[in-house]
Amino acid sequence: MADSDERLWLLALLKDDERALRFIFDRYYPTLLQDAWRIIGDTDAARDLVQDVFVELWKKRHEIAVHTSLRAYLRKAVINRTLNYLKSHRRISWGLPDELQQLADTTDTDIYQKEQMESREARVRTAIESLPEKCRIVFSLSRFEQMSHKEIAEKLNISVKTIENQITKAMKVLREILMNYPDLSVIVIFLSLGQ
Amino acid sequence: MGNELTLLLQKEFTGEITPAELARMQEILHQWPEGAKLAEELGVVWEETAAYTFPEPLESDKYFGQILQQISRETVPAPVIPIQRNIWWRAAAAILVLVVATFFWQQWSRNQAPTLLSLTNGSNDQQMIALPDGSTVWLRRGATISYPKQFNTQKNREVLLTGNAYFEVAHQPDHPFDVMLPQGEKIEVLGTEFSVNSLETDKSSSVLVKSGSVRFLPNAQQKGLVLTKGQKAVFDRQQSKVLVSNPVSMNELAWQRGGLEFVQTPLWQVIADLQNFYHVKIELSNAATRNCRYTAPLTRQPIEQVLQSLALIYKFDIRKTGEHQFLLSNGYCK
Repeated sequence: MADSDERLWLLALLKDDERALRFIFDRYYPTLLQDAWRIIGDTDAARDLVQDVFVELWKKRHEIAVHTSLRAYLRKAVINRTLNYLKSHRRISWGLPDELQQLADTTDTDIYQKEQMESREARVRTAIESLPEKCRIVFSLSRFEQMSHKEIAEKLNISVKTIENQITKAMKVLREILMNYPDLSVIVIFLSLGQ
Repeated sequence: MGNELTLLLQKEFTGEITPAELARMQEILHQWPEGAKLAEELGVVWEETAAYTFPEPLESDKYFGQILQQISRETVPAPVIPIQRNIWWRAAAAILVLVVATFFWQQWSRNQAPTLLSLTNGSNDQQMIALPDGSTVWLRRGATISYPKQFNTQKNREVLLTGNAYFEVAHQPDHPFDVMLPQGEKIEVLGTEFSVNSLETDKSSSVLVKSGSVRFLPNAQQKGLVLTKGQKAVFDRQQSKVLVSNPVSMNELAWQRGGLEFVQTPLWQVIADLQNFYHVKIELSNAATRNCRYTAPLTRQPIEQVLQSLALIYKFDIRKTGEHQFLLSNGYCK
């Protein structure tokens, strides 16, 4: 949505024009859904969270102040809501020092054992979902939500060092899974050679 | 070494690497040749992760519907009307265009911000609409009727009209039915069936009562005028005057009833009605024929056929003088 378009729809929204809500929804629902889902990993929860953001947008349309862009505003709302949800419902607490500060070995991660995967999306999804939850969330915030390590640390109220450890771990695990993907045909050859 | 390089590479991918860190990264790569392979692989991994996407179809329509439901549950007393799927996008082809419009109209309270439903007849045929109270409205082409969502729950049943419409109002003595016109005229319905013509570009508006009675209020200043069956009031906006008449034929309503009917109707009126109904121009060159009387039952024949039957009876010569123009010359009354 071009900047000028966005201003028009915001104005229309303020005039209680429901068509504006529909336009904004059509434009941003796909990306916001990605944002929520990449953090929370659950499709239903992601939909609910994004839905809540649009409901709030409508209900509070006269109170909100969009300084930057609507996209940025909505994305921020989605991220906040998702992280708050995780904190309250999944009881993810970020402050446990031992768990996160140590740069644990990749061996304690449940590395996915091979299965023939059809699509690239499925492979990547499985790889990322094999990360421990907090690790995955930190990785998603960095990879997809364009948050710097410092910003993530501030948002989750933990140290930058902890974030960096989690990022490093995520990168290592993902590399292990995605780059060392055992090919079925290779194994077959291996076995026959061993005969 | 590997871990340090991994982190630096990731910062380079996100764009948050500092110049000092960049220098450090290059130093490591220089010292540690295996680092190049790591860098390459991590780059591939980073790119690959872009494929991490929502795994289900989006189903936007369905989920937007849920949003509207939630809004309507959570906001009282101005609920949101469920916006029908794809209605706006079919505007060009639809016979009835449903537009959800919210606008502040001078008659409505500004604080309320009510939500109005608007229906426009975009087709060439008349469109029949049922109002929530059971009343029926026939919209002529191009006419728009608007009414609030709370139509049935308000004390007065109020609709807003632009264009030409015919009303059959359901009898509800406790809830007066009012038709508002954009320029401020108001029609209070006391009876049942009437037609209203109000075009914003027109210098006048008119009400014709078929049955029952209405009170016509041209504006806030003028006293209301009661019109009964068969009466027609024309309000000249410029002169701010109301003219009441008993028109000779009800053919003004022909578009609603689906045809024209003539009972001993003088030809000058017949021509006027034909012009109006078929959207054509007809010239009667022989002035003597203007008062010939014509009788014909309710009909929806094409204009050419109607003119031919006239020609047959009155010995007219018909000539088509334009795309929608005809000339009837000579002829005489029987």
